Amino acid sequence: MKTTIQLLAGAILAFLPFAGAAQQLPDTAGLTLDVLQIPNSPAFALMDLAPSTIDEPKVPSDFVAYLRNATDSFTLFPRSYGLEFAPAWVFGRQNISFTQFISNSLKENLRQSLVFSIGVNHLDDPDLPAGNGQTTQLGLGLKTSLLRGHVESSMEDINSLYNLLDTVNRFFYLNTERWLLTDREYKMWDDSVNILRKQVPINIPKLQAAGEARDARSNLLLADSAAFQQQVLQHFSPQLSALKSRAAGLKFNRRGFKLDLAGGFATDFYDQSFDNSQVTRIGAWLTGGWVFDRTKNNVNASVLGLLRVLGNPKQLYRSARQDTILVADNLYFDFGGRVILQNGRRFSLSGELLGRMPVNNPDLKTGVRFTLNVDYQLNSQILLSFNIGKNFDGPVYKGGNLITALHLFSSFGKKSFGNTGKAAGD
Amino acid sequence: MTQLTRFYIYKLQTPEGPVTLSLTIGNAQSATTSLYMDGAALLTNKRDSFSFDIPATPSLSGKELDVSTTVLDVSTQSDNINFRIKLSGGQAVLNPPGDTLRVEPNGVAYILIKVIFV
Repeated sequence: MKTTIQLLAGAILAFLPFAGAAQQLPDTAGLTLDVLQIPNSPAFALMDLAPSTIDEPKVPSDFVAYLRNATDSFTLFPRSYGLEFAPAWVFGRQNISFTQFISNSLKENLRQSLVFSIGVNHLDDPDLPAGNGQTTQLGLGLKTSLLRGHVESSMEDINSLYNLLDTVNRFFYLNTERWLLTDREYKMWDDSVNILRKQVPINIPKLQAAGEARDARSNLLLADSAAFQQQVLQHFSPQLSALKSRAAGLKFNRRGFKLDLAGGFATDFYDQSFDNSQVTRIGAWLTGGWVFDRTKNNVNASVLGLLRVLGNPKQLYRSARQDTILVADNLYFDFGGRVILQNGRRFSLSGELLGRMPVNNPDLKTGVRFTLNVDYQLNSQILLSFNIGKNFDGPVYKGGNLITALHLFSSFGKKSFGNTGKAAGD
Repeated sequence: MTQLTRFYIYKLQTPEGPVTLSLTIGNAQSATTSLYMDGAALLTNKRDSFSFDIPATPSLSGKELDVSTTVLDVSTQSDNINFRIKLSGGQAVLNPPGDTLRVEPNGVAYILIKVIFV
């Protein structure tokens, strides 16, 4: 296990500096780099880097990289990095149909929302127990949705769009062939095909040649879009304009009940050495809740809950009975809730309350963590997050149990499918 | 607006078939497809990706199947349209490489595939 983790860590640490270069992959032309969301990936959550523990299940972006900067007025180079990628969208997007995309079936939810996440965090706290305090944390996690909620656009809107699309499709079939047949060369090849295919026995090589010649001619004619536009499409422009505006009006934000399953582990590399590492956290959790439909004032509200089992192997902790520091493999059960209010896409306010029950160690106390988070999106790729609250008691790594932090998150990657429809003519 | 045509010959095992047509429209784009056999409607308003067993007839040999598909770009992420056809049930599976078309935002692409059975 340890060797595997070390190999994985080596590969990931080597890969991270090239995260930006990975964005130069094909199929990026015309993309809007507008992917920012608070990193709620399991890898970040396990390393306590996410500003909140309970986050709204979201439609994944296919690839996102995060940088987090939290200290010294943001003058330091970021100490935390994260990557997320969704295999279904990275490797199989050509197989995902629109019907599957808007579905809320378990099979499609699992396939489309599976996200692997990787996080790296550098610590240089001199009070850390091992080495000279230079520790690198690596978190690996995965997350998938069991329930994704329903898309914001109604089925009536979607059915209406399909009916209009069918009308346009029939128009194209009738008029494209009719228009092509006005071309003498196309008609000659079409006549040849029709004669050859009705002969018995069929001369397949000749039919193949005639069919390919007809196809080449039709593609040549259709590539001259000005002629096609002038002679065919202008007679159907109201329907095409209606189709375009309806497509622009579709909204794919998901509302209703959502349920995410996540898990992962985090490893600390003391002295930044592969030979001195230890898995420090292993966890699995369910996050679920209701995301309400948008109100008249453009305020979104979400009510969420979390159940989590978290193992901390060889954890240093303060004994409640002996008032001394001990080491043990501790297992916790966490549970709690969060309320989020969001005004548009820029500002959100949330409160989170989390309870922690030790499962296997009577020497640990039950703890409570609460936070108030205020997030403001400065632009499409930078988010400012302020958190204040009280952390769980117990772990000695903390300088205290008061959480006060101002985080700056940057991200780059492909835009999520979960945003509202784009405007026609963008 | 983007237009594309394709032509294939598909060899049957027996003149009456069977033949199964599979169409995949990826990238979460919406589409409708109609099928016409020698110009007569066989199937209309079929949404997105699907598989369809061509109904058995006394003879499919020499007949031309038109697969008429219009794809609408509804994706917020990409203006690319992925399109792939597969025919099975005959002497071999016909599974040509898929086509990727780029359209204007919220634009449409029209694809007409002609298949002759032999």
